[in-house]
Amino acid sequence: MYNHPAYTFRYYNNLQKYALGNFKEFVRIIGLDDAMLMYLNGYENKNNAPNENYSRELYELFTLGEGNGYSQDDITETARALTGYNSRQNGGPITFNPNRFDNDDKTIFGRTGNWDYDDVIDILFEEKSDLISNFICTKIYKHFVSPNVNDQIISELSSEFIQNNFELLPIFKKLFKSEHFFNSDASNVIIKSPIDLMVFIEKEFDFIKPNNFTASLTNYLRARTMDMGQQVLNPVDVAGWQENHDWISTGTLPMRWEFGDYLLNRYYAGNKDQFRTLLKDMIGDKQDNPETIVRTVKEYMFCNYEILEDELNDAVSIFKGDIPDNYFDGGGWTIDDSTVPKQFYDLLRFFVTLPEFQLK
Amino acid sequence: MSKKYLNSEKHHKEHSKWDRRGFMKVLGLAGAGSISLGSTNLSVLNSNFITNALSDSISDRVLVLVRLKGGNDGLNTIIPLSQYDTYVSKRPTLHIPNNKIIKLDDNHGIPDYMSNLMPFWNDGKMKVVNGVGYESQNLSHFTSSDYWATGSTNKSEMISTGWLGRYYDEKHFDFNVNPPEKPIAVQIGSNANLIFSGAQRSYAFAVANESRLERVAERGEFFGLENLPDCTHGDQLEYLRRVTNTTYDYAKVINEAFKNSSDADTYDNEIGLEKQLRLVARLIKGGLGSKIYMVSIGGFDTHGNQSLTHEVLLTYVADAIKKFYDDLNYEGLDSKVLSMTFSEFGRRVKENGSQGTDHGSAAPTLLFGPALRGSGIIGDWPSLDNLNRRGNMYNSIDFRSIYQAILKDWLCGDSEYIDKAMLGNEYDALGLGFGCDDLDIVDYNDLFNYHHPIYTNSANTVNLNLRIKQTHKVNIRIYDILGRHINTVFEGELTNGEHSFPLSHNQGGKISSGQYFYRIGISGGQTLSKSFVVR
Repeated sequence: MYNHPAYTFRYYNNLQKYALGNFKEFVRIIGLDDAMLMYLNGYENKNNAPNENYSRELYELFTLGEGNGYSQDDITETARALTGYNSRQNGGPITFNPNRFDNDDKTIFGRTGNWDYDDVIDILFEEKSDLISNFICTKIYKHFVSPNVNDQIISELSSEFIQNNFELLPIFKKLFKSEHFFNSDASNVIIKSPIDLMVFIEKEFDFIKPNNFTASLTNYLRARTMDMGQQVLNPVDVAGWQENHDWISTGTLPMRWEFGDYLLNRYYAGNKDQFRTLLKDMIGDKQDNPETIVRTVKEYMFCNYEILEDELNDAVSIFKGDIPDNYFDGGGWTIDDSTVPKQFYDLLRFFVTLPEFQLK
Repeated sequence: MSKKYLNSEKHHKEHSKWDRRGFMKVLGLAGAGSISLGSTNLSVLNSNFITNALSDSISDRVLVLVRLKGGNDGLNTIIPLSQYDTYVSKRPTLHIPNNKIIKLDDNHGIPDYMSNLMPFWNDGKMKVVNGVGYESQNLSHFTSSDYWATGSTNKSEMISTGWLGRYYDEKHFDFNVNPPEKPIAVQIGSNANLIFSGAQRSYAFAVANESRLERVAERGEFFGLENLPDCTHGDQLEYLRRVTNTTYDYAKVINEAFKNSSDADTYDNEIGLEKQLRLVARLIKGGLGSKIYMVSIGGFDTHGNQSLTHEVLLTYVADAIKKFYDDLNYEGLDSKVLSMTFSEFGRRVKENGSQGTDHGSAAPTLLFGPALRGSGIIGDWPSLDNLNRRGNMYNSIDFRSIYQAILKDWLCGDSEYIDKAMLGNEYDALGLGFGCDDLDIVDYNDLFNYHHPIYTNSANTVNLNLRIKQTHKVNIRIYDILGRHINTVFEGELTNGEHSFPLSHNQGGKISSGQYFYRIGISGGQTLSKSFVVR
C-alpha cells in the first residue's frame, strides 16, 4: 500500500463503499483514487509523457483479463485519455490539471473522439459489458465458491450482472442464496487464506483470550498472517493474491500448523475450562463415548466430509489420551472429568494440522 | 565452561557398519545447510531440515522408555523376598507363590512368567531400582503421569514442559534455524504425555499408535493419496496431502531407515508393545539416529481380577523386551540401547475386595541393556509395614535421580542443560553402570578459549566477547527466536586473540528487546551457538 496515511484511508474507504455497490462506479472511482494514481503511475501520466501502466492494468487485471478484448493500441490511446491527474500540493489530494490533459482525439475500442477519463469508463462498459461481466463473475465465483468454474452458473450470473447495470449486491445475493452454493461440489473446496485461517480459529472457537495476551494478539495475528503470505491491504503485487494453491507451500504449511497450535496453546494456558464448555456446546447430549464425540467434533470442523479412517482412529486415540481404557467402559469417564479440557485441546491440535483443515 | 561434543569423522568410520549411508548424507546436507542458512530470512522450515551435525550425533546411544500405563503393580513385578511373609499376608489371593518365583538374589524375585528376563539378569544386563517414586504420592493417573513427565511434583505449580522437553529446549535452542534432520525422539502412543514438550514444541515425532508409525515408515509419507473423492474437494485434498507429505521430511527419513533394515524373525505379535519395539529396533538398525524412543502399553490399572491380567501383561512385556534385545544383539547394537520401564505409580500393598489393587505409590523401575555393565539391585524395597495413612509405601528413591543419571551419564548432557531439565534442582545421579568416559568425542570449543555475550551498561547493547586460539575462517550471525536471520556480525578470517563484536541489527547499532542467539560458524561446517536476552 502506498505509504501515505490519508491516501490509505481514502483507498480503504473506497473499497468499503463499493464492495457491494456498483462495479462500474467502483472502477470509475478507483482510477482517481490517490493511492492508485500513485501506485500505477497515473500521477505521472501527462499529455507530453503518457504512462500506460494504469490503462494496461485497467483492462488486464481490473475489468477484462489479459489479452481479452483489447489491443496495445487501445492501451496507448486510453493512457492518453486518462492524462491530467497530475496536480497536488504538499502531499494533498491529486487533482485534475487541464494543462496536462491530452486534448487531441483518441480511438478506443474503435470509437474516436477527444475522450477523457469518464469517457473511457463509459466506452469500456458500453463496448465490453459481456467480457467485463464474465471476468468479474468468474473472479467472484473462484473466490467464494470454487476454483473449478461452472460455466453454466457463470453465464447466468453474468447476464444478471449486466441486467442489473453492474450492481454487485444482487449478484452476491443470487449466488449466496443459490442451490449451487450449498451444493456439495462447491463446499470445502477453497483453500483458506491466512486471514480465513485466523478468522476460523478466532471466530468459530471464540475462545476467551488470556489477559496477558490480548495486547499482543493483534500484532501476533498481523505478523503471522503476513508470514503465511497475506498482509492486509498490502497484496503481493498489482494482480493481488493468487489464492488457492498459492497459499500452500512446504514453507507456509508448517507455519499454518504452528499458528493454529500456538493460538490453541495460549487459549488453553489462559483458561482450560473453556475447552470443556466449547466441547459441550459442540456435542450436546452425545456425551457417551469417545468415538461419537470425536465424530461430532469432526463434523463441526469439516462438515460432512469424511476424513480418512486412519486419521479418525488416531483422533480417537488422541482424545482418549492417557485415560486407561477401562475408564470408558461403564461410566468411569464423563464429560465433567478434570481431564476433558486437555483431551479436547489435544484433539483440536490434531485436527488443525490435518490437510482437511486448510479447506473451507 | 560448558562442553559440546561432536562425533568425529574418524569415529563415524569406525562405526561404518552402523550407517555409512546416513553418515554420507549428513555430510552432504551439512554443507548445503550452512549455505542456504545465510540467504534465508524467513523461517527456516522453508529450507527443510538442515542438518546440524552438532546436535544429533553426540553419540549413537539410544534411550528407550517403556511406559506401563495405568500404574504397574511393583510388588508382583519384583517380589520382596525379605518381606515375603508380610507380602503374603497383605496379598492373600494375589501374592506370587513361592514355587512360582525366580530368585534374582536372596531378597528379590520375579514371577516365573517373566523368565524371559533371566538372560538379562544372568548376563549383567539388568538393573532394578527399588521403591522409585516421590514424596506425597498423588493417586490420580493424570496428575502422577504429569509429575513423572514434567519432573515437578508440586501440584500448585503448573508445569507444561517435560524433563526431556526442557533438556532439548536448551540443547536445541536454535531449533528454528537448525532443525535436526532426524526426529530427536519418536513416541508411540501417549500423545498427551508431556515428557517431550518443550516451551514451544514437542521434540518427539509422535504417532497415536504403532500402526501409524508402520504406515509412515513403509510409505515415507503421512497421508495416503488413495481413495480420494472424484470432485473438486478431492482434487484440493490431494494437493494439500501432497504438500503435507513433502513437508513432513521426518516421514521420509523414517522411511529411509525403515528401508535400510529388515525385520528380525524373532517377533510374532502383530500388535502392541512387541510391534512397537520391533519398529523401534528396525529404525535403530536402519540408522535413523533418533536419541529417544518412547513406547507404551496400557492395562496396568488392575483394580479387579488382577492375577490373570497382570500375568498376561508382564509375560508380554518380558517377552517383548527379550525379543527386542535379541534383535538388536544380532546386529551388534544392543550395547548402544538402554531401556527403562516406568509407570505413574505402583499399587496399594494390601489387595482390595475384588482381587485387585488400588492406586499406590513407589514401585521398582527396571533397566535393561549391556550398557548397564552388570546386573544389580539399587536401593532397598520400602518397608511393607511402615505405610502411610492410605496404606501406601514410602519411596526410597526419587524418580528424578534416575533422570539425572540418564541425562548426565547416558546422554552425556551439558550440566547447564541438565539443570534446566531438572528445574534447577539437583538430584543424586544413581550409579547405573554407564558413563561418558568411553565416548569418542571431540570438543569443538577447543578452538575458542571462550565466547559469551556481555551485557553492557547502556541499554539494548550486547557485545559478543571471544578469544580464538588460532586464526580461523568464521562467520558470526544473529537470529531471533523465530530463527530469522537478523544480521551477520562478522564473516572472514578471525585472527587469533581476543575480539569483541556488537550483537545488533547493524554495526554499532542497538538491538530491540527480546531473545536472540548468536551462531558462530566455523569452516568445516561446525557451529557453536548461545542464546542471549536483550532487556
